[in-house]
Amino acid sequence: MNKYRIIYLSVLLLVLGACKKDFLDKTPDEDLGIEDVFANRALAMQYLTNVYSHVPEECDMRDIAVGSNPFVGAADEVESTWSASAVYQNYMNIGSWSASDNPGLWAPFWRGIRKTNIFLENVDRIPISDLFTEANREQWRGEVYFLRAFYHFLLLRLFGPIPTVDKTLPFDTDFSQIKRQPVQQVVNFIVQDCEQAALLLKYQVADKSVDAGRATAAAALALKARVLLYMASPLWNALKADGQTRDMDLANFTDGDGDHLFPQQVNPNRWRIAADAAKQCIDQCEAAGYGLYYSADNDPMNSYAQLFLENHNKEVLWAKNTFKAQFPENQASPNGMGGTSGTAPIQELVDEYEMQATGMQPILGYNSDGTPIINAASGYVEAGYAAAAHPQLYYRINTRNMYVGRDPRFYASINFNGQYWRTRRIDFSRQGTDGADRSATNFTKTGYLMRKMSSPAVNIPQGIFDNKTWIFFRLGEQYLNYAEALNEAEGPVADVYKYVNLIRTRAGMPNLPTGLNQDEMRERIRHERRIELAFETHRYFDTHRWRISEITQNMEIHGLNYLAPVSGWTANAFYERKAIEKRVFVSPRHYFWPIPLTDIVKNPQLVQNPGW
Amino acid sequence: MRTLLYAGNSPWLRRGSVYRFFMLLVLTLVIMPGNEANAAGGYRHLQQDTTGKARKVVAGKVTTDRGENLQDVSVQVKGTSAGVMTNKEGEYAIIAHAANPVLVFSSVGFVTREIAVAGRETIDVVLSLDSSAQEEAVVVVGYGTQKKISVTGAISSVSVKEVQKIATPSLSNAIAGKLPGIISRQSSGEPGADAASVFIRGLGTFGSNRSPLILVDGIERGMNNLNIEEIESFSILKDASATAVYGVRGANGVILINTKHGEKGKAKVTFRTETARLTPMRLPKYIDAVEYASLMNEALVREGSPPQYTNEDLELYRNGTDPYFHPNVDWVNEVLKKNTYQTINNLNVSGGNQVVRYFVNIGFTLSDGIYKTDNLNEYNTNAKLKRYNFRSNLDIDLSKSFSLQIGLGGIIQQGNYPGSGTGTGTGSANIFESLRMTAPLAFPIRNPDGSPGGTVITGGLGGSNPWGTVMHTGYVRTDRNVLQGTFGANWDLSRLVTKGLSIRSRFSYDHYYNGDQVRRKTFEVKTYFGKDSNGEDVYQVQREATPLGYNVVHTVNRRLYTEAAINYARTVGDHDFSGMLLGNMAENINISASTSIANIPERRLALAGRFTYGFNNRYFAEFNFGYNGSENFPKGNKFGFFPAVSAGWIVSNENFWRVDAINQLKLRGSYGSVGNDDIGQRFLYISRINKAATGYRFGMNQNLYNGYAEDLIANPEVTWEVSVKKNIGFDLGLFNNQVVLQVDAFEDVRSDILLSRRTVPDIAGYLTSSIPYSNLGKVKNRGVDAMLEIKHQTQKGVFYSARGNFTFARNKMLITDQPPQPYPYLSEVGIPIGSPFGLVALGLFQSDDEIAKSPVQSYSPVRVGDIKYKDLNNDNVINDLDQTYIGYNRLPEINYGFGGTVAYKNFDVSIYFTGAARANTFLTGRSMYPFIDGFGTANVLKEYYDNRWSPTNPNGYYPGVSTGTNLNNFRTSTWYMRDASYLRLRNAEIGYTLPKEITSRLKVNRVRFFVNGMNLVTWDKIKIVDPESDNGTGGYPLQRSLNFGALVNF
Repeated sequence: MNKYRIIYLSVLLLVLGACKKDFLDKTPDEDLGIEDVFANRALAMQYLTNVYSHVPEECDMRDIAVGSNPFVGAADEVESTWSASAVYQNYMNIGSWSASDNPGLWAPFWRGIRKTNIFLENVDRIPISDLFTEANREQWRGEVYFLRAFYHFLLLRLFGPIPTVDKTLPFDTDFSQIKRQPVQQVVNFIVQDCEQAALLLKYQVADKSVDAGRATAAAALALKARVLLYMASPLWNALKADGQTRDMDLANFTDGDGDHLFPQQVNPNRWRIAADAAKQCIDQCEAAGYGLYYSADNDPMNSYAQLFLENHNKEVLWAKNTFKAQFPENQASPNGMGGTSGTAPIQELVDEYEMQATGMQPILGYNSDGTPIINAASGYVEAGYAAAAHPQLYYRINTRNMYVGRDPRFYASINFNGQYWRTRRIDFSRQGTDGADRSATNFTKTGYLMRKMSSPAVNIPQGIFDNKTWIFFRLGEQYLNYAEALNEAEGPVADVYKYVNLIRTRAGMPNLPTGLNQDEMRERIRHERRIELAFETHRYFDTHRWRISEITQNMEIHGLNYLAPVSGWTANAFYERKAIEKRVFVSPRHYFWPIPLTDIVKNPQLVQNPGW
Repeated sequence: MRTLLYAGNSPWLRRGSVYRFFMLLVLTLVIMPGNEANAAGGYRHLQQDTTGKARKVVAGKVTTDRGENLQDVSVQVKGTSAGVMTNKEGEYAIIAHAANPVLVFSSVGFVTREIAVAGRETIDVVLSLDSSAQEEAVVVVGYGTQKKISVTGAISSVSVKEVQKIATPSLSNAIAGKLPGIISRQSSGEPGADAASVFIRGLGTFGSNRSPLILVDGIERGMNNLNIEEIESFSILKDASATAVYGVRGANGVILINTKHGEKGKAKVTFRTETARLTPMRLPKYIDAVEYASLMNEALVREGSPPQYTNEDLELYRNGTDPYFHPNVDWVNEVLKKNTYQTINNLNVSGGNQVVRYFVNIGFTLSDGIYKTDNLNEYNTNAKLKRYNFRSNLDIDLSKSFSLQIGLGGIIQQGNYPGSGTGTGTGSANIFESLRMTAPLAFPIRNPDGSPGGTVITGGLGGSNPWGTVMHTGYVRTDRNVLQGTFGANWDLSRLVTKGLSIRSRFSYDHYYNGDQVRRKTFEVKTYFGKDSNGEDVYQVQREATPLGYNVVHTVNRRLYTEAAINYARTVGDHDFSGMLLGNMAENINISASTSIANIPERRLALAGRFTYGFNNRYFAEFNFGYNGSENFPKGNKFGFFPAVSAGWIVSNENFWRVDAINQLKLRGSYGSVGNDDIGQRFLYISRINKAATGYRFGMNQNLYNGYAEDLIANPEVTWEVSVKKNIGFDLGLFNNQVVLQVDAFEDVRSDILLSRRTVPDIAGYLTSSIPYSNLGKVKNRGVDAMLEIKHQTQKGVFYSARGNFTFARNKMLITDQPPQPYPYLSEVGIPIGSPFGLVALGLFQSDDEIAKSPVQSYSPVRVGDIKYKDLNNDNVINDLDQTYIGYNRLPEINYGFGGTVAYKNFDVSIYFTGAARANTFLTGRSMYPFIDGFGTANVLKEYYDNRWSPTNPNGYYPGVSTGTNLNNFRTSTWYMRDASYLRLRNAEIGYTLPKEITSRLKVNRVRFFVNGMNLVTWDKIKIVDPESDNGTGGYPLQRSLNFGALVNF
């Protein structure tokens, strides 16, 4: 029996041998808390990096991903013919969206705001050392003030009156105390953060090679000027398009406590404040070395095209590095070059480009059947084909006459049938190399593709892409901001002409005719913004703040007859205008986006926007 | 008569006791007064007729239903005292001298049979084990066995024979519908991934772990890589009484599987081989190019645009004369086979002597997939599962009181899959997705130069070619190597300390190696543009080919388990006592973990106990507990105590019981708590920083700077789920247990379910992943399960049995931290877990007038032919606030099964049906929602095409076609919801056992041939996809099998 006792004891020993007193006390050793992060300069810098990561990918105009850009395809600029599920702007264009279907442009910016607040609450804890001086701390704090203002702005421009959040909210906060603020207060909050940032930051980054893309005082002043321009505009003052009539839906819009969320009185001084802010931005930035960009050869088309391809050039006040994002080429290249032919400018935008020689609009309007009313005086001819190429090869021989003699920015912005792109001439006709027969879905449904921002060096089938940036603020926009605000505040004074003409000169266009009245000047500036800032997301917000989206986004849009069974760029049938979509925009519902239903449910104080 | 033998835990000892019992029986019979039988065991023991009536000698052989000869069976002529015993070979001879003699065959532990002689001279009899024979039967319970009579908890088991009739590599599929208390669903038939999800008594929690604890030979191990031939017993523990010993691990129920052990005797060899032809059930049926093009035209016309395809186009699609520009491809037929096969083979040897007993099994399983292959490939791209199983169980009696058990299991499983997946994925999801994605007219299968056709690759699978996806993406080889070693010792201290006391210990070491060899490549995609002016083919390369890559991903896990227990069992007079106290510790470590947290071993300590008391076989009481600790909870809160009490009363053993038809009636009840510590996340009590948060690019070279961000915020009080379980039930035996009925009703309240707070709004700015978890959730689950068995043998020798079971479980969520809802019908409270949420459809709009008069449907402008929804809140607007809970969860609330066996002479036939009810599925998504991915993309099911609304078919069921996604129609609603109830002819089998004359000539004991089939017929309401498949339009289909096999005993 002893033998077994020994065996058994050894079995028991085996069992007990594995027993340790702290058998259950093993926990991860190397984990960090927020305190640890801000006790170390290098880790805090990683944190700051992540605060930047909520800056949206606006270069992605498909908007199938969170935080990208549906604005170009939802404005009267582009029809997204990209084939994928949930291209949000396509839903918006047919009025097919609701508080429960939202493209994820609510939560990400609130997350960014929480991160800015965590950073600002902890930044003082970073110990000073050789590598981290008080100046460094000021610089970081300034960047984060800018980002907090920017994230609030991105929410403001979509949702209107939003809560402003300047501290971290514990998860057990009584959220019913968090209310929407009147738009003027939100704007004031953003302006205040911008001014803080401008004080703390320099106008240029210290070393472009490593810092390009960081926020600067230039960016902060540009944001301030833009948000004040918005605040001066009709929509934000609860006015209709004429700038006089009250829009009672917005004027009467209150939160749960009955507080008005839009201004109750029109304050004409708002245009003056906006003009001053833009002028301050222009002057400070120019003093710091910023200026309008011109390409080396001074060619207008090249200047305008290169402005978006030469990263962080002297006109760029703030841009996001988007690396080899493959945007916009992937969507904007013809299917015959490996693109998806998705970013298709509409005929109405094409018609907007002036004739270079006369500076006049080629099309004055449309007949009820959709045919254009041609302005013969402008020199525009719709039919026939060019007998020769443009001297600087803006277009080639046998180009349809409707594309001849236009604003040089047209050639830098839009690829049309027969235009030369990269290695060959594009053929959008149905049987052409880039036409509808080449793919079940990936072909332009307007007869155009966006060219602006595309690099001819990119080769999609070979996987060759280049480093891209997305420009959020550039000096050219500020010129137009200033001109618009000043015209509203004072009428078409000299500075208004000066800054619009600076833009037109760079584009190779004649100066504005003198003697315009305030209304005529307003139309000129709006036209100039539509052309100069095309595809930069401004149009969507401009038509909103001018309160004209119920017209511009509520009409039948047109393209060319891409299904005509022809090939080549001299087939007349292709150039027949066709209605491609009846867009839907309901006022006031669509002027502000709906707050996601999920958040309304969690906080009933968060009243829903009018019409949703 | 009660057994006085072993009351311990090892099945092999128990079996020994049966033999000893036979010896006792023999003795008893010998000395029985008036019994004239001669039990000495000669060849024939003829009974002299003393009455002088007609005498007739009847002889034959008695065997068990496993074909073993049965010794010492009492054979009596009914109504007389005449009787004999069978000899060692199971043979008997008796003089039947009654007028219409009826022979009664009885043996303890077997069902007694009465057979009319009816003039025959030879009567061979098969006796089957009386599984409900209470007195001897034992039941596998947590950490041991228990006499069935004394069990007061809810435990069900199924005989291995019943499970064997289904030829499947995955055990979970064989038990579906066979046991009361199991709710299961098999959603895929893919080799290596075809296991059913199994839940005991449905869902009790919406927490991360809803699955039962599975123990093989007492160790936590998977069941789907076992061969059925290796298994001795299969049981499930359902209530608190049965599961409390598992404490914090038992709340979802427990499945206990024990493997076979050897029996004393000469070596027995069993060889079982079976090969099945597998036929995929319900492959998707898509429309052809002509239908597709006309559907596109229909969509354009419906929206007021001119059609895209001319009649000439349609004709070209129809006649196929322009295969490159008007292709018409049946992608399903191009890539999927109509049939495939599977084979399962097992050889086992068992036997032993007084000291050592052994069981050794080797198995080989091969299951082939349904993908077509390209002979030009140098490697196989079809899905394939190859598995070798090895198991050896040794029992060594070092002395009468001291024994050792050594178990070794090895499983080598190799899978082969096409490279169409991502990561280490098996690719089936992508294959069936690419079939859904690719229109019949999208592009030709191959271009004139033989390269796969295709179009612009739009990310994901768009533009890709299913033929290429299946055959030209390389392959993934998966290796799953499992080593399971168990070492146990048992010491009976009856003589040394006190009677009935024993101690036991066990140690196991399991090693899991998963290696995935990914040899993936990208095939070239080219678009053919026709010929240029020189007659040369023009192509656009959309994507370049990449060569076969090589990437190996290893996962290595090691699991250690040790256990020590003290058992005590004693009977004093009418009092039965037993007690067990057990301690164990377990460690599971992911050796190859990629993060330091995942590398920290999961550790658990437990103390468990069971105390039972029985009085006079009438009253029983039991107390069970588990006291468990886990490293996953904060210090001071690591240990939890889970007790359960239960009681039973055998009414039929009372003296006042006078109902002869009911030979047994037992009432049972239990109450207790159990836990669930697998909360899906580790160390929730520690706040964390995400060191791989999204970065940002700075500088002209756009270098990526890494980001740090707040990660999960700690909850310092995090704990496990607790389940309070109540169970009442009864066991009923009728007509001497020819009919057995077991019924249980239960209620299970699960609280402290871990959830991420849902009331925190986006405005607060938390990442979803950083919102702290809290133990807030609560769910109530109630139901009934029942089992009925009938066994009978007619006087003509026809044996038949029938069995059926039924499980119903319905839960409702009580607390989910759902934010307050504006309307009560939006609230989750009282709603079963996973209930579909959506709109109530009223029909299709039939006129513009109807649209004008109906509430505004806010999702998108509607047309005639679009779905009309119900305005639940009467605000005249249809939006998300009009959604509600519209049906049943995908997992059925009711599972049932029934069937029977008939045996006559050498033939046996069995049939079994399984079914489910109260489940819903949704026929939604790609291919049911035409053009949801954009006009002209994705395939369309014939189901939609044939039944859609169109101006010419205003009575069509599905909404009219749109040119793109349709936010009004493509929503979760009752319109696409289907009743997923079904009844299947799950398996049917015909067996034929070769007559003795032949087998003896072949020098084998027994040869049986069988043909069985699985999933032979399905009655359901869906028809186009399997009623068990996931929501959507189906993935790898389930298989119908036609299986041929043979069993040989040497």
